[in-house]
Amino acid sequence: MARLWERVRGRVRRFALTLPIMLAVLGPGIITGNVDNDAGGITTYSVIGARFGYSMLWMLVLITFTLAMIQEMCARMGVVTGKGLADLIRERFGVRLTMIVMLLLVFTNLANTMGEFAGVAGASSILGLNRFITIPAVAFFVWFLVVKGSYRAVEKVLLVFCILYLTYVISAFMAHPNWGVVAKSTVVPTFQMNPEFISLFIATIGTTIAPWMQFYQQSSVAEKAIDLKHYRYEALDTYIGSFLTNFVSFFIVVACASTLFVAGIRVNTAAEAAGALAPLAGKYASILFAIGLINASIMAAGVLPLSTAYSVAEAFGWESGVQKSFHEAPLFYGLYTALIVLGAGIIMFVPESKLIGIMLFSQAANGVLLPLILVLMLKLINDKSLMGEYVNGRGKNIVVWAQAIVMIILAATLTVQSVLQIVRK
Amino acid sequence: MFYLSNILGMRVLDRKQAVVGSIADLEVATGEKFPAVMAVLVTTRRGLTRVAWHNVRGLGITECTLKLADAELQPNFKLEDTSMLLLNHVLDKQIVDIQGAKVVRVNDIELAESHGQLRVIAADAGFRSFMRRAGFAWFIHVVERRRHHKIGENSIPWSFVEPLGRDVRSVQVRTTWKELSKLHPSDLADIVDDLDFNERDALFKALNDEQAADTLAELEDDRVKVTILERLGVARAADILEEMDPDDAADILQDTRAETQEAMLQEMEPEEREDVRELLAYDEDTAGGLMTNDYLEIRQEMSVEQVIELLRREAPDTESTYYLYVTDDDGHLAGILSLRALIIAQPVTTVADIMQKRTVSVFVDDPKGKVAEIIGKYSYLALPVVDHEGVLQGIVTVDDILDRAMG
Repeated sequence: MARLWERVRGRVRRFALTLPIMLAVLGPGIITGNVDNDAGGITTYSVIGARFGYSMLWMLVLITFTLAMIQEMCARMGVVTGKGLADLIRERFGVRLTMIVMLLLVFTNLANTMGEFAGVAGASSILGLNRFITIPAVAFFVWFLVVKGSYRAVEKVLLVFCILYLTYVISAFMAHPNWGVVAKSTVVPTFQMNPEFISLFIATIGTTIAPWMQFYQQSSVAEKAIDLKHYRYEALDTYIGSFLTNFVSFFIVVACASTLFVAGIRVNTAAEAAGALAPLAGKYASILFAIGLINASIMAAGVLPLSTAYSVAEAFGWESGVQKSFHEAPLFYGLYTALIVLGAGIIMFVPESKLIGIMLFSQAANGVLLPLILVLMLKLINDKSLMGEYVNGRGKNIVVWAQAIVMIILAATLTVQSVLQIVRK
Repeated sequence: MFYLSNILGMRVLDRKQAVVGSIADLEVATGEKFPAVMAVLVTTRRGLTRVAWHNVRGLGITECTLKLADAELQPNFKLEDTSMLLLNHVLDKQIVDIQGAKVVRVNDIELAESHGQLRVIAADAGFRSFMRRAGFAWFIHVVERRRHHKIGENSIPWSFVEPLGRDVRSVQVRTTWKELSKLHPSDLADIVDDLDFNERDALFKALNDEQAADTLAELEDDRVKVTILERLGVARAADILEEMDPDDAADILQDTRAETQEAMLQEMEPEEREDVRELLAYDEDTAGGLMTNDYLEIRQEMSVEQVIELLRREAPDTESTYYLYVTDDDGHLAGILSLRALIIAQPVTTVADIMQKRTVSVFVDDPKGKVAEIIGKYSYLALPVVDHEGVLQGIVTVDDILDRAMG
């Protein structure tokens, strides 16, 4: 008995010693995962919940594993090499390929940033705010936070924002879902062979596994200079982040499925979903949904342009970093500012009907970019001169390549689809 | 002159003018000002082959001719510790531009032939070389013809280049970092900001304790300082902390995890450890947190000659000698003696006669805003800090306040 007690005490003591290290490491993965549920993500999840009910829930479970694996590779590269993904791509693959990747990245991230400001606009109308005030206010807030604040302040603010995602969980409970059906749909895969199902299926993967995430997480891990012997905490951080992102999206789907789907209401945007929730699940569920949306949009509107500016600066060797002044890193801040101003400006002043073309283009670009990045990542992480003993094991390589091939096929389908739509217009 | 980007991939002909492969990389010796190309690495159908430079007959615009026959080309490449590959270790990687004291990315490398040797002469990091590599050389030509002026290139002479791409963890390379250690600590700090942590580790291992301490003190981000020290290990960290001003050392330790902080303190020499430990007890945002306890304390009954003698012995270690602080038997602050008053006085005069008895001081628990206000108001270079019994505890120097106000 006494020995057992000793052992328990030893365990507790060891845990108490490692806890501060663990907490110091946590951050990049959790933040990346949460920002992943941006305006575009919430829109997609609302649409699949409203259109197909619970029947796509099983997919979210699978995506969690794929996302976790991809992000873990980035985190590992960040810890081992101390360099960002854009950095490594430039060093290993030269100027031309880097330039193509960066052009695609800037374009898709600009389109995504526009999506975030569109989210702000939509949520504003539900909450009874004027979007000509909220959009510039949000744009200025995120710009100010990064330009005038420190990296640590930014990270803290972001972590607080992560908590606000729980509003979606509450919204889901307020919608009184049929938990039995929810549980069954989560474990039993169902597939419908119709174009809409397939296209939403692909869109969900595209929005959950977005290219900016790999760049952002690896750069923030590299910036943290995590010791190799604490790598397992960073892996844990990544897994928690990947779990959280799909945990939240799960409840968004549930909230929409148990109300809008049952009532047969179709929606096209997250804001529409929030509005449609009011008569079905009550005013507060609708408000919570809108608060979640505006929170997600603000967070991503800050992170996306920042991560883009970091990646491009890394790749081309510009001075960069939020600890530098505007004068020291003009190109870095210039790109960051331009993305925010363009993203906010286009949403404020360009009519919605004109935006569909840009959005389709961005989807197509995304579809090209993601497989490209996956292949480059797999090459980098299996490079012994770069990763030493931390290259992928054979089992992991097989699993990741299999997933990459599936993703490449899906992304190619998405690209062809978007191009066809553009041609038809 | 050649560009590396043009040489790479170039056709390689054997001595019978038959195509045998293409150029994969160039091997150069490290440690020379303008390193000579030792060998050409050729990709042949049998694999990567090293061809020593004396076996190269000529390097043209489009092809490279060897003195060897095809059969003599056998895969044999192994990287020597003393050599470096231009594509693998330098092109597209970061280098330190020692003259400009900054880290840049290499877009291209310039080589020139002289006396039968091909030598590396410069690294290009500008817009022009970037466009050329990206395949937009025509764009540059068009613009230059229209505008009638040349687009600038940031071309860094190789003698000012410190490559970072060669595995910075290997021991051999660390010796080449010596060039960097000649830079001013504040320039070094700017460079450290742009390095990844493997490179930072390597740089700090190459610096001696004093250089490392000075560089660390110049860094802006406290978290970066902590990370650097933690990664260097407790023993080395303690050596560096000892070299720092106690207030700077305390600032860093304040942000370190409790157990690491204690371990580093334990490794320090007792004298320095006690100075730092004393300062750690104060809140960061008070006069106590700003002050250093490394100052010169003198007694009223000392003669000017004795004081100057003491200064000669002790001064190099103190942060500020513009003022000397006069204390009584119980350590109470009794007066201040300016360096100017000391120098113009007769050697036999006692301190009590020339010191300024009216002193301005702050309490250890006064907020830093008040300290800044007083220093600003009286334009002091340093301000004494006392406890509530009036016993002198330390001094705040103007640069400490400036650092905080700006950071």
